[in-house]
Order: sequence, then structure tokens, then C-alpha cells
Amino acid sequence: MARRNYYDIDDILAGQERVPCVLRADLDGLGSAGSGGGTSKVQRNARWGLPYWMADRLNEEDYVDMEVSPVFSKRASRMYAASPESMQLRAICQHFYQFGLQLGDMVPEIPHVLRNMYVQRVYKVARIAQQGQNVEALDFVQSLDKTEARMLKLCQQAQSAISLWHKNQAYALKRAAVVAAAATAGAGS
Amino acid sequence: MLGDEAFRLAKEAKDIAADHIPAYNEEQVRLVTQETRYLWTRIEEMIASLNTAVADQQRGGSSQTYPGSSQPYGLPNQQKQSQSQTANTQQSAAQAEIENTNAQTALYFLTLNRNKRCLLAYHHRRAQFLRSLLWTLHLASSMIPASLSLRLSSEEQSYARDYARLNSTYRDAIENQLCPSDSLNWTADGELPPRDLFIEVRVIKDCGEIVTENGVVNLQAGTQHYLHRSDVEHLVTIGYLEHVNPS
Repeated sequence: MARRNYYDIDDILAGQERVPCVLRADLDGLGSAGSGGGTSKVQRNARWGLPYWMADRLNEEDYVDMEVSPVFSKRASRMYAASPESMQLRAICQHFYQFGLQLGDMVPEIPHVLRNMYVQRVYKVARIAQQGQNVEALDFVQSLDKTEARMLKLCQQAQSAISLWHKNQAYALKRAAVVAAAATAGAGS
Repeated sequence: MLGDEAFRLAKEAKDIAADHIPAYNEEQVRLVTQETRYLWTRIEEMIASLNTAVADQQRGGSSQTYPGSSQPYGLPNQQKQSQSQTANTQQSAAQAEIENTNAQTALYFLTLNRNKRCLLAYHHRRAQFLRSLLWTLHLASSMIPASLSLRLSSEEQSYARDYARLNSTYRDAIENQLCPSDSLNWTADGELPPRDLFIEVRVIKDCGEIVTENGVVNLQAGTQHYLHRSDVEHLVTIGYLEHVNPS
């Protein structure tokens, strides 16, 4: 697996997704916010949903038993394969693809699931970006996860850039976005 | 949950867009660093206790390897057995304790690293935003709009100033070497290739007089001029002039 960028915010956010775990050792202070106490008792054999960044490493050391997240269970994968376009990815997991990539180390089938899903859905994303939004597309747009939503935005930007170019306005100089935002904020207040 | 505070910082870093930056969250940064320091002291404590526990166990273990030498000869066999049994349960309890402490040290250490990553990513992302902002503003840190500089910490403001200064020293050095008699346009927008040499601009804010190749031009608000693109490009980006499109 390719090394992930240490400073990648999306990667950090995706790592916060919870995975179900069974603790093999007492992990007191797990639930506390840190400096407050660290006295709360957490006994072994308890079930906890731990953030992936924590669960993965503790699993390596055998302090917890990590289970496959329900987002990528066998049953869910069959559902994804059946109708990729109708899945409500945003509701299932906001960082569906990023999180899937992180889990890919553990479950070798996940990359295939992700790939099938993405290839089928990205066509629709591109089509919506070209046709403009309509009521039918709205449902689908609301089901996009963060990666796909970014893709849609990029497609739409490219689309509007083409129409600007057709109108011979592509070479207009504009003031910087920050300055424009500051000016409108100043006018508003 | 451990690490939640740091996660909040990462989410805030995600909100940074090309034209917007949330205010520097000093409070949250302090919370995270505090938690991290606390975790570190706990880790040190736990490692110290682990070391003593392991040393204790080794002493206990060595005495057990030679039971005959430490036991008096006349002791009945049964008593000997029960003694070693209690020793065994004691030892397994100690073993479990060590394991727990091990697990907890690992947990705290992971959280510590996670906090560090979130903190660094937060500041890295903000610095990145500052640099790209400076480049669009033609590397003049004084041009940062007031509404934005309010949201920067004092360290970030001095970073912007130092970055601009360092950059101008570097540019001067390069220009001296390559073309001592000419100056280069460093901040030209590479993604937008120039098409016309001359452009029509309308003045939005008074800029006074500027000197161009063809003489002095007085840029008064409301007037319109046909000028060399490279002469006024920077004034358009900072919003003093407006590019009027030939349509």
C-alpha cells in the first residue's frame, strides 16, 4: 500500500471512523478526555467502538481484537455489488473511500468493492455535472461521499470553465478570491 | 474519548478554502497540547512502574527456580505445594497487571502520536494557506485584508512577513545573477496564459499615478484605460482595477 501523507487532513478524518473491537486487556482511561481524570474503569472483554487509528495499532499488539467494520461486512459488500448507484454512501460513511483504503490492509477484498463502486458511480457523477442539476439527480447528489462530492465539484468547475471559454471570457483577469471575499464581507457588515 | 479534541482541530483545518480561513483556535490547541503533556507524564509513570514490576518478578522467579535451596529441609511436602500454588496465582495476577499496564502505555502512546499528527497537520494546512495567499497577493504581506489578518495568530502574521522577506531576498539574488538590468514577473498567474498584450481596465479605487513604458498614467476612480497587461495585472488581482471584457 502506498504511503499516506502524514499531513493529509482527509486521511486523518477518515481514520476517526469507528470499528467494533473486543478488548483483550483493561484499558482504563480510554473514555476520558485526557487531562480530566483517566480513572474510568474499562475492563477486558468489553466491546467498544474504537477509532480506526487506535484500533489498528492495538490490534497489531494483540491488546484488542478488531472486527471488520459493518460498513465493509460481507453482507454490505453484497448490497454494494447489487446496486452501487442507489447506495446512500453519505449516510453509510462520510469518508467511504478513504476509510476503505485504510481498511484495505486488513481485508483484501475491500479494494475490489471500492473499485466497482467507484467506477459505476463516477459515470453518473460526470453525467450530472454535464447536464446540470435536476430533481432526479438531487437524490443521488445527496448520497455522495466526500471523495465523490469533490469529484462532482471539480467536474462542474471544468464544465463552467468550458462555457466561459465559449463566450470568450476565459482570459479575463479577476481579483483574487480572498480579496473578493473580504470586500463582500466588508460591504455586508 | 481520547483524541477527540485533536480530531476537532483536524475538522477545523478541513474548513480552510481558497478564500476563507477560520480563526486560529488557540484554546483548542492549548487543550490538545495539555492533554498530550498529561499523557506523556502518565506514560513515564507507567514505564517506571513496569520496570520495578518486572524487576520484582525476576527476583521472585529466580527464587522459585531453586525451591530446594530456599526451603528448609524438614518441611512437609503438602505445605510446600500450597505455597508454590499461591505464588503461582500471585505471579499470574502480577503478569496480568503488567500486561494491562503495557496495553495502557500503548494506548496513551498512540493517542499522543495522533495528537501530534493532528496538531502538525492543522498548522501545516494553515501555513500552506498563508503561502498561497501571499503568492496571489504578489508577496506583499501588508496586502492581506484586515478581515483575514484578524483570524491569524501573531505567530502566523510574523511567519507571513518573514516568508515575504525571505522570498524577496531570494528573488533579488536570482535576478542579479540572471538579468541584472531587468526584473522578472514572479507572481504571474501560470494557469492563465496571457492572450492580449493590452487590456481594457476600469478603475474602481484611486491608485494615483503609475509609470508605464509609454509614460505616466493617472488612475482615477471611474475612468477607463487601455493599458499594457503586465503593468496593471497586479492591481487587478488586489481589486483596485477591473478587467473590462471585450465581448
